[in-house]
Amino acid sequence: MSSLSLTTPLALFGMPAKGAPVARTNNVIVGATTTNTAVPDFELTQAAANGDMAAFETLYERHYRRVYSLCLRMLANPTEAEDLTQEVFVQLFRKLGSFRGESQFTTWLHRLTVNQVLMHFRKKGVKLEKTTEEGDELNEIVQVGTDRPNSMPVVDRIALDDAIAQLPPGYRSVFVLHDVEGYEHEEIGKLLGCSVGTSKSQLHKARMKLRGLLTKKS
Amino acid sequence: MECRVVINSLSDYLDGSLAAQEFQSIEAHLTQCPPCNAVRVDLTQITLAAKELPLRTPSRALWIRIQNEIEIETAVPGKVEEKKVSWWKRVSERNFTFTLPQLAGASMLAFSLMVFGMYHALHRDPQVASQASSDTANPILPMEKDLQFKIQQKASQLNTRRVSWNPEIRTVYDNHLQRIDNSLSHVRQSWVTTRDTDQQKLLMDLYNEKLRLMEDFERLGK
Repeated sequence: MSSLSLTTPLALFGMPAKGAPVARTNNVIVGATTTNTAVPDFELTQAAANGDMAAFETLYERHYRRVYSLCLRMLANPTEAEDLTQEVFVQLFRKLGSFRGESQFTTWLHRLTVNQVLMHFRKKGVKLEKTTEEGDELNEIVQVGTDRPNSMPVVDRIALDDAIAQLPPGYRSVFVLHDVEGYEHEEIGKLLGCSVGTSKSQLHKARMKLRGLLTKKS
Repeated sequence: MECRVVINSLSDYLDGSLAAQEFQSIEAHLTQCPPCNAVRVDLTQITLAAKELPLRTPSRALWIRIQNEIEIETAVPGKVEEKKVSWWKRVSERNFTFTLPQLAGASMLAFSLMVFGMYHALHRDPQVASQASSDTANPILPMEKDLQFKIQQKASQLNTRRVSWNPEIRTVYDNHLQRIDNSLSHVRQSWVTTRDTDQQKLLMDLYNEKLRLMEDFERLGK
């Protein structure tokens, strides 16, 4: 039996929890994202592409937390994550005219975000770990056969977030893209320039490393 | 089935990407092996928790920063489109990695070029060297220095005025000047090699023509 429990209130995918505070002060949005979903994203992109800043602000309100969370989890650095979120939205404003609505706006925006993060890694010279498709055996992490079935500590999602931040950049990228953002290995392979096998191998290593980190915390 | 093999396949097992036979073998092992099953449960919890991670909120100032940057961009007409990054910036920001054979090849090429350059510098034909130096604008005729000085003066006067000219006039002037300069360079080179008096006369005529052209356009601007 595992004892991992999830205790953080749900605030998933830009949807605020019931009664979550939304405070606005002079064009600044604080707390949960806006619930105004009357106008589709595509219409807002068209209006914003024609210079309508109010439409662009609505797009920002809808997606800024998702973009920031993705940047933060991939970079594990709040300052860099904010800078990159800013860069993503400025890029978005520049590229709005090229969005034709063939794909979902969120998909398009997330791809833009991931590309910005990967470009940032390249600029900084961050090496994403490369492993063989078979992957190395995880001797240092897994203690199989030790007969300690209840080794996992009680962790919440904040602890998991902290553990993700401790992963090496390559493992972290694959884990965030696959397990947090829901990308398929084929897509990850294309984005990171690696094979599907490498992506799978890195994901498994990331999960095992997380388990090790969460176990150590107890 | 060995525990290590099972552990290494657990992520594929959880993501449902195993073949049916392998899936069943692992499942059979997990029912009999509590430590491996504990790892499976933990990984399941991690993947479930990852899907429910809370969204994080950046600082309040972020929107203001974005707005300011966009405002600065839109204030300059035509700057809304994607920024064009200079080739130098692109090259300087790129991380190059070279293998040892590549570096060795590059060093050999650089060394060969250096040796080639040194050899040519040492074995240069004196006549060719004098010809090359004569191609510069150094005066070589008695009146040439005075003419060059006058032309230089006129050119500096015209340069301040040409800003106010009609673009078409400016183009006509530049084209004429270019043609005379090309002829000057050609004739000067011929004179250096032949020392022909006709070439010398032609050279002086060209200088005077250049001067006249400048004077004409100077009057036009007044």
